Amino acid sequence: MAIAMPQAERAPNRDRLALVLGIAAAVLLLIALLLMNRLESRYAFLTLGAFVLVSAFFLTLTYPKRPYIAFIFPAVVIYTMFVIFPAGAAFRYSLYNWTGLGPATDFIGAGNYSEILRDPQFRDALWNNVQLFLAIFVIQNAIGLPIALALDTKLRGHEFYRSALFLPVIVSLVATAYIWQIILGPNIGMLNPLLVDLGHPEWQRDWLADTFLTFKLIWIVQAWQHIGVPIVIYLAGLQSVPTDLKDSARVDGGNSWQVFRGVTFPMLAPAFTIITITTFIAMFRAFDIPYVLGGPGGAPDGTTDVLSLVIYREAFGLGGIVGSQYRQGYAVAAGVVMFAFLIVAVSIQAIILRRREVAM
Amino acid sequence: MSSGAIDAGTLPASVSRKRRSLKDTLVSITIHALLILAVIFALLPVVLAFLASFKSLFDFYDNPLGLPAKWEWHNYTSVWREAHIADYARNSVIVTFVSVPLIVVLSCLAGYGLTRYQFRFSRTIYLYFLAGLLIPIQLTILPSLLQMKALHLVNTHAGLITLYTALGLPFSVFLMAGFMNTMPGELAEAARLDGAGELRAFWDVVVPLTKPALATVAILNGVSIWNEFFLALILSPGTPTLQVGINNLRGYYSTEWGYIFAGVMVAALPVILAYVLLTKQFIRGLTAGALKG
Repeated sequence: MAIAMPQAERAPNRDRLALVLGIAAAVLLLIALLLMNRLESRYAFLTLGAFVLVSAFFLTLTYPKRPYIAFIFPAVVIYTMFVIFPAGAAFRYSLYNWTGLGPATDFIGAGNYSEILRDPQFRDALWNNVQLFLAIFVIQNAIGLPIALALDTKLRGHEFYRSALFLPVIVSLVATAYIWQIILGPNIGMLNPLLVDLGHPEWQRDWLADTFLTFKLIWIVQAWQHIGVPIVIYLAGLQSVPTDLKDSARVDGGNSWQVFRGVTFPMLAPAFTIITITTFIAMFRAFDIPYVLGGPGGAPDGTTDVLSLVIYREAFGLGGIVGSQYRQGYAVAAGVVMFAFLIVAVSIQAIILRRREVAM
Repeated sequence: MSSGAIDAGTLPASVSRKRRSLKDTLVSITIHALLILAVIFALLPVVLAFLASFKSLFDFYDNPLGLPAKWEWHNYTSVWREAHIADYARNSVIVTFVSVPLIVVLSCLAGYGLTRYQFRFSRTIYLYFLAGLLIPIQLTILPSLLQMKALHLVNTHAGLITLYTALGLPFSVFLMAGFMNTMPGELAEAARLDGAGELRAFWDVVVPLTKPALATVAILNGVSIWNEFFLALILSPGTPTLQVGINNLRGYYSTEWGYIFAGVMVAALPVILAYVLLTKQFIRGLTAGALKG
């Protein structure tokens, strides 16, 4: 008993010390991050060193009673430092006329935002993202869904078909853009010689420099790379539809279309929601294929421009062209607008599609 | 699939069966034909690019669709040595094969901590990670670039590894926590009661049971990091990964497309080969990744 007493007394002390150390670690991390944003490298490193030291003490103290803190700690710290903090900092930089070359000092309030709202290149790029999404949306439901329905019948070779159709998904978007040069490219493309062989030489053109067609071809290239994902998700959704449900509908005299419309399609609603939202997000983040095929300027004539290209171009200019401006404050503000747009659009879609799921 | 359900009632059974089987055969042939067409559309560009990577420039014009007249292995040796593809490949390998284990370990630990212990803020921290799924890289990239400058990590492997790891965490933690929630908790409890330390219980009992989720996290992050372009282009033009590197080839070779496609194949073939070997796991991993957001 006499021995137990001091231990029992020490425990609350220990907790209090741990709490102090934990708060100290958090403060040190915040200071280090703020120093980084001011490009004070040496002090940032010193503070980070102190943070690591304090954290080590903190974790040793808490581990015996609360081991979960040590399990979660590294992931939380790295995620906070390199995702959450930069996201927060973005809102601050968007209020500055900032070149990105040094710390931000020239505060201009909402100036970047009001400029974005009046900027035709931003509006056009946003519209292109919308078109890209709509095109892929139509293609994946008009082509991807029937393919999934066909594969769901477990016809011979269905696993081969599925694997082959999914393969483009793992090809990088940059490689995809290059691979498609072999069909569409002006020098090596096969489409033009093919048209000559088919007896229509007048249909030949420079497919990647056509103000009307090039962006539409980018839809097809994006769809080629992306469509495996909706096929596989629809297929998983279909396999969750009980077969007896379909059979009983058919016995009741429904034809294939009626069975699909009345039984299968409503059961696919959750898959439809997931596919629509993920495609939306993917197409609003699109960068690689337009960048490789149209360059940072969205050639020809800005017709292939998308939001990510605008952000890239404002931040880094047109790839080494002398005199091009570095307007990273503006670019960050464009990123914030894109982020806000994504959140609002995805929430609206989620609400509408969820309601539909329930209604059906 | 069958579409003969309606006439079944109106015709004598034998006639109907015969007609249905003929109709079914026709339908089935049409479906197969359409699927084969889709497969050709999916695979042909890759196959053509693969063949093109062995062609000489003349060959491109003489027979665009056929096999190479002479297989030019020289294309590969040339890009590998002259155009620094060897360096780019090394960068990609280092960055991918360091980031992925880091993500796997960190997300596994965090997922375990969040689901297997009852404490006040576990739900809050889980939601804190989920919030990261909504943050697009386009929002964080420029502040991150400044941070990397301050830490002298621009144009280094460590810089790319740091950001890829951090960006991979939210979704990986989400996947790991989701998987561990479905796992019976008693096993780790039992190990703990047997006197095994927390880490022992975690390592000996939890990790082996979590292998499928670990594989999903590893494949998803491995493919997306290997294929990533935007971040690598901005953060690390001085130590280009393959995706940035093949984009440099156009400047280096201008119209020598045989070389360019050899570079493209060096970037694409490792993932394609891995996919052919582990098709099921890849499809599972990447469709899990599609659920992001």
